[in-house]
Order: sequence, then structure tokens, then C-alpha cells
Amino acid sequence: MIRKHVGSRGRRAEQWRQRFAKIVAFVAPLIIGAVVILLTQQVRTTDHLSREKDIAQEQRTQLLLLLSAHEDVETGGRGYVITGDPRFLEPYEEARRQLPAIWSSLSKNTREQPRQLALTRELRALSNRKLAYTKATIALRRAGDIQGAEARVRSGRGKALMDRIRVHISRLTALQKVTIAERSRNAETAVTDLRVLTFVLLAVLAGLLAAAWLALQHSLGTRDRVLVKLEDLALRQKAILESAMDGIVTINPAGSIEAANAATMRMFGYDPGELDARDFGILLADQPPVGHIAEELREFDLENDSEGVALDIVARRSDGSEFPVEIAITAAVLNEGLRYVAVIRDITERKRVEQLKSDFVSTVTHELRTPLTSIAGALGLLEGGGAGPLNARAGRLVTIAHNNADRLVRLVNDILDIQKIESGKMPFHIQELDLTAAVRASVEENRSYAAKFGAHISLAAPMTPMMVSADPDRLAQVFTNLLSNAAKYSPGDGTVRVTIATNGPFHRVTIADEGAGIPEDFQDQVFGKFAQADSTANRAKGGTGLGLSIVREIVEQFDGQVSFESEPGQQTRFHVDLPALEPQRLPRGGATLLVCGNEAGKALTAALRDAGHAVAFAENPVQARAAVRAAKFAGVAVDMGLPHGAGATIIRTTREDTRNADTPILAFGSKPGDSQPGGVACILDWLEKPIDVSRLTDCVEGAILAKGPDKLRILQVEDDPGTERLIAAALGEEAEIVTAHSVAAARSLAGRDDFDLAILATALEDGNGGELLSNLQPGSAAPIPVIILSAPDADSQNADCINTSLAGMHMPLADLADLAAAAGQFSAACRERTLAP
Amino acid sequence: MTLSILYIDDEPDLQEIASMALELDPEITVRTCGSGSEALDVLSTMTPDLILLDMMMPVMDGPMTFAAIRERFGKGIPIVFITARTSPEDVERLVMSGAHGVIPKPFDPMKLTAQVRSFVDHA
Repeated sequence: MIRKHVGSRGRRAEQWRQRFAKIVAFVAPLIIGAVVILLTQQVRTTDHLSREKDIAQEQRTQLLLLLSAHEDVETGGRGYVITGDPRFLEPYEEARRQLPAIWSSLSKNTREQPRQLALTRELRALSNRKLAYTKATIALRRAGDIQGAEARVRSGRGKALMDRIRVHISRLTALQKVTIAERSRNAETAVTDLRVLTFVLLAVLAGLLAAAWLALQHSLGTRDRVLVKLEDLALRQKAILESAMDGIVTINPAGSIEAANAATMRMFGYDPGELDARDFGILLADQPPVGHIAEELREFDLENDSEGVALDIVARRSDGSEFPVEIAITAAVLNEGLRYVAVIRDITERKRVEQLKSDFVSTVTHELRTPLTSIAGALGLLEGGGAGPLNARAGRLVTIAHNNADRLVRLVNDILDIQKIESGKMPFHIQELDLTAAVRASVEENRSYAAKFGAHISLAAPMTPMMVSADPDRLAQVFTNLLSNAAKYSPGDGTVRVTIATNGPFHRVTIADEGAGIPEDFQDQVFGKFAQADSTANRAKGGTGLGLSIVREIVEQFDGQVSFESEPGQQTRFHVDLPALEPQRLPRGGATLLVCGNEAGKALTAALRDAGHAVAFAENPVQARAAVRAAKFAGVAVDMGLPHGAGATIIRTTREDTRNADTPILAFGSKPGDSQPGGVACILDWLEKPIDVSRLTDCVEGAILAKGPDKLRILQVEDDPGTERLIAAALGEEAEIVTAHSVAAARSLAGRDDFDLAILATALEDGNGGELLSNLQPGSAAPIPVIILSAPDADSQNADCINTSLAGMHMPLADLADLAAAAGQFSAACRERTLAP
Repeated sequence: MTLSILYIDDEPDLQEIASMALELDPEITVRTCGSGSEALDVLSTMTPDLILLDMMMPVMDGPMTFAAIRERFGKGIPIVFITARTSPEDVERLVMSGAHGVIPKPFDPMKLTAQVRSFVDHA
């Protein structure tokens, strides 16, 4: 700020100096011109003066000549009268001849001076009288009248006239003198004035020139200083450029490199100067053709954007090795034209650290999950009376412990979710689904949770399906988070209102609570991590502070958005907007069996229909979900070869539907494009770790009852001791559990022994429990029922593994149809037995 | 010797566990409060032998509650903080501010009575 100010003052002074020099340059010639004119004037005045002097001299001569002529006339006339000698008349005649020329000269010179003119006129009159008198006298003498002539001479009139002429001439001469003196005085005064003026002007000119010289000198000095400063600046910038850690490259609009600093050379492994005039593209891993960079730069310029940042670009060293960089480009309009400055940062280390952090969080949370599973499981068992009745105090303590263990599980899950979403590792199985059904299911699931906070959930949804593209499980997570939030922040006896409506190109779900609203100063951070308006409030409410952050991340994956409106003290409304899809009609009808699959599924559907069964067919999880929600089925056959783990999704969907929770599920393998189904597995349930013990026992209960009086033999494939003990505690009394700790061990056990049921963990040291399904096919009999204990978020991988295991087997369509039908009967039997006692 | 303890913590689960743990000693009676302001009300009706005070609470946190108690009821009642922040600097700061001691979270419920008695004895 200050520097800028000083700089502008200096510049203003410099401008003034330059302006002054210009003024001097303009004024100096004017002054010189004036001086020249004055000097000319002076010369002219001096000339005039000398001419005046000459004229005066001439007049004086003429006057003397006049006098002398009259004297000649007088003398000649008198001499002739006295002597009668005509020789005396010679000077008289001569004078009379001269007189006209003298008069003409005199009158010319006295024309402008009135007094002299008057005197001259009088003189002329006198002269004429004198001449006339003398002439008359001479004429008398010539005529012989000597006395008369002599009398005239003696009378003295001629002499008197002559005297008067003399007096006039001397007067004129005096007057002449005065005039000359006056004139020369005037001329001298004028010359002096001109001289003074000339000197003054010359002095001014000298002053101006001196000032201009000083200004010029100063300007030159400033220029020198500026040049030194510029040089220093250039040196300093060079030092900065060369010492910068980031690569800094100047690129011309043609895309070629004009200059690159030392860091660029180091970073890319080039020698100094080696990059000059090369295309910028050689620094990039994808090696764009020459000209491509120029094109990109042009576009960049067209966007009218002076700065751009390219993240996560892969760069290439001279030796061909690649590394990640971030490039920031700035356009600069220099005097020599448009240039681009690219700052290149090597982010290898940052990427490595990010990866380390992400791996660390992932490992820690996964490692936390395993013991937590055991803790929560053990406490769950204790609380549920699994270790016998507890006294009131013990029961209370166990409940506290169990709730807090659950809270920790939620926190760990949320951290894992966030971490997975951020690192792009969260699997999203995006499919078309009915938003109203999804919301309805979430509302039902969260009613009891809301009731804990005294909140009631109301739902207003249209009856027609509203199709969106989303992952059903993640979408459920979104609504669960928002509903539980709304419930938590509802006042006692409050209502959480859920509405679904179409809002332009979006379907909008709005969840409104009657809580205290979001404080205004917190509204910016609502979607931040560990963000809670009151950081300690979460402990009372059991939140993790990650929920809304997860909600936003998930919704954005579906190309949707989350927003909120809050009226502090009144209510808060959260909106989830998802792009609307055209609704799709789903097959319905009074079917007893449901087949989900590709080509093999279609073939199986046809075979079952030929055998007289009523079969519904679904080819994706959306249709399957709609089907299981619409009706109770006797059996469901699922093709594990459906893409993206859709088979697993369908199994879980079916199990989670209250009516189809115990519908037998047959999973079969298939190869893409092949209408021939592979082997079959009977899936009792598909549970995700950490496992829900009560759901597991419910599931096994049916099998135990179906088995009858003998003890159920269970093959457990598990390498986590915590889970193993948990299952032993839950089922050990009613079933005989044989545990294999690896896939290989399980394979040999399955070959030797008969089992009624298998509980398979998927993630084992030496493989996936799903691989064992082909080993659990005892000849032509119905396959052994299986419970899958899946690692979290591994549906796709597990489904693929199961499909690979089953698709290798060959099962005639007729057998498969029989099995499917039998599964229906098996289920009916199970239910009868369950209901019988 | 009978002791009355005031336990101030916003988390109901911990209130319950601390009460149970302290009341293992039949001579100890525990009164629990969920907030600093509630504690101030309670203190105008009773004078406990020791106050156990949680650090992180909404609205009025531990140090604010501590200052309010000291201002209104003087230095007579020993106050011990219960906190998960137990770096030497944190402990020193609390002790310098006049606290009688710090019990780190998570605490061992079976040793809580002994800890409390020792603080009362040294107060």
C-alpha cells in the first residue's frame, strides 16, 4: 500500500518534469524568434538614426550653398552695378542657376517638419524678393540708369533682405541641430530599450534552458535508478524462480516452452536449456500431439478466465517415468504479447501421505470393528439373557455398555463410510428404484428409533411410483440419517413430517422437524465433518457428527443434492433432490415363485412355467424389490451372475422384506450370455458383519425345527475367534458346530461329513467362503442351506465368487425347476413346524 | 466417615455408572447433576464434601462451572475435574486454577471410591 503510494508520487514528479521540458522546448524558439525580431528592430532604428544624421548634414550643406548663392547674387549684382563689368554677373547667373536644385533638395528634406517648412517658405519668399530686387537693379544698370541702380544698391534694401535671409538660414540651421539632437536621443533611447528587452529575453531563455537541462538531468538520473531497480528486480525474481520448489514454466500461445526454472529441470530430469522451444506436451504422461496444448490454451483464454488449476495430472520425466502433479496456469499479457505461466507442483509425496492416511484410517477402523463386534455381540447376549438372568443393577450396566458399544460401532462405520467415499472406494450399486417405496421403508424402519425420542413420523407420499437412480442401501442410509437426526432434535412429542413431491426435474423428499432450528452462525458448517451445533450435544443424542456429511456425499453420488431451510426456534426442513426418471411398469400377478436373472433366469422361468408353476420374473434388483414388496413368494431363485453383485442385493432385499423374510432362496450360477444355469445353493440369509445375533438365531431356528429331534450339524467356516465364540454362544446349545478356520479345511470337512447347515464367512486367509458352495452339493439331494457372513461392502465381490463357484457346475433345467419347487415346499414345511409347537 | 459427593456430567450413562461405582462404599452418597446451572441450584440447598466435575459439557463447560461455583460458594468445597484431556499441561492448568485434582477418563470404577477419599483427606 505504502510502496504503491510512494511510487505514484515519484511518477507524478517525473511527469511534471517531462511536461516542463516540453514547455521549454516549445517556448525557447518563441523567445529566440522574439530576440531576433528585437535585434532587427534595433539595427533598423540605428540605420534610421544615421540616415537622419545624413539628411541633416545634407540640409546643412544645402543651407550653406543657399547662403553662398545669395551672397554670390548680392556680390555679383552689386559689383556689376558699381563697375558695369559683366564678369560680375557670372557668379550671379551661376547662383541663379543653382538655386532651384537647392530649393528642391531643401523642401524635400524639410517636408515633415512644420516649423522648418514655414521658415523655409519664408526664406524662399525672401530669396525671391531678393532675386527680384537684384534682378531689377541689374536691369536698371543694363538699361544705363547707373544712378537709379546705384541708388537702389545704396538704399540698403538689398542688404536688409540679405540680412534677413542670413538670419533665416542661421535659424533653420539651429532648428536643424535641435531636431537632430532630439532624433538621435529618441533613437538612442529606443536602442537602449531594445537592448534591455533583448537581454531580459536572453536571460529568460538561459534560465529556461538551464531548468530544462536540470530536469533532463534529473530524469536521466531517475531513469538510471529505475533501470538499476529493474535489473535488481529481475535478479531477485530470477533468484526466486531458481530457488522455487515448484516448477515454473513460461509458455507462449503456440504451446512451446520459453523458459523453465531449475526446479522444472530437476523435477523432469532435463538439462538446462534442453526444454527451450519444446512443446509443453512433452512434460505430460499422455504426450498430446504438438498443437494440442496451444488449442487447450486458446480455450482457456476464450473462457475469459485468467487463471486455471489442473489437478491430478500425470506428468512424465525425461526417462519416461511418470508422477502426479498439480498445474496452475496464469495468463499474462506482456508487452511482447500473451504468455502463460504454468506452476507445476510434484504431488507424489502428498499423494503418498494421503494414501497412508487413508490406509491408516481404514486399517484402524477395520481393526476396531473386529473386537467391537465381539464386545457388542457379547454384551448383546448378556443383555438378552443369553448367559442367564441378570439382576437389575447388572442388567442396567450391561444395557449402558451395549448401547455405548453400538454407538462406537456406528461411529467406526461412519468414519469408514466417509473415508471410503472420499477415497472413491465406496461401492455404489446404482439402479432404478421407486423413491416412494424406499422412503416408506426407511420411515417404517426408523419409527421405533424416533419413538425413543418421543417423536412421531408422518409420511405424505403419492401412490404412483417415482423412479430415481440410486443405490438402495445407500439411499436408505441417507433417509435413516436424516430421520434419526430429525427425531433427535425434535422436542418431546414432536412430529417429523416426511413429504415426497416432484420439484421440476427432481423428485424431492423433505424431512421436517419441529426442533429448535439450526443457529444461523452454524448453518455454513452443517455438512462438515464432526459438525454439531453444540459439540457436546452429540453425546446426549448418540450422534457421531458425521451423518450429514455422509448424506451429502452419498446424494451427490446420485447426481442429487441436499439442502435445508431452518427457522430458528420453529423447524428445520432438509430436502433431498434426486433426478427424476420415467416410471416403469413392473410385472405383477399371483405368482408363487420369483426368478431373478439374465438368460439362464429366463430359461428357468420358462421351465418352471412349463411345469405348471406361477412364476414372476425380474431382471434387476429394482424389479425384484418391487416384486417382493408386492407379494409373498413360496420361493425365490436368484442368478448370482447378475452384474455388480445384484444377486446379493436381491437376496438381502428379500430377507429384509417382512413378508418374505423366511422365503427360501435358491442361488444359482450362470455364465454371461449362457441360458444354461449352473449349480444351486440354498441361501438362508446374507448377513453383514458385525452380525445381528438375534437375526442369526431366528434364521437357524427354522432349520433346527425342520431337522426334527436330532441335533442340527452346522459347518462353520470362520477365522475370527470373536465371531466364532459369539456363534458358539448363540447356537452351541441347540446345534453341533464344526468349525473350519480356512477354505481348505472346510473343503476337506465338507467332503467327509454331512452337514445340515453351513455358516460361511467370506473373508478368510486363504480365500472366500463363497467358493465352498460347489462343495456343499451332496449329489442329487437338495443343497445344504447356507448363511453367508459377508465382510462389509463386499457384496459384489462375494456374489461374483459364489457365481464362479456355482457356474462351474452343470445342473439340468428340469432338476433346477424341481429344486426351486421343492424349496417352496421345504419352506412351507418349515413354517408349519415353526407354527406347530 | 460418611461423604456426600456432587457429580456433574451431562452424560446420563456416566452419571449412572459413577453413582453405582461410588455407592459401592455404603458411606458415600452421590447427588448427580446434568449441567453447571443445575449444579449451582443444587449447591444452594446442600454442601457436598467433594464435587466431581466433567470438563466437556454444553452451554456451561467444566471451567465455567468451576468459576461460577468458586464465585458463589467460595473455596470451601474441594473440586476435582474428570476429563479425557490429561496431558501434563492440561492438568497443571487446572490445578493452577485452584482445582484439587484431576481424575482421567476413562476412570476405573472400582478405584473411584479410593480416589475420592484420598482427595477428601488431602483437601
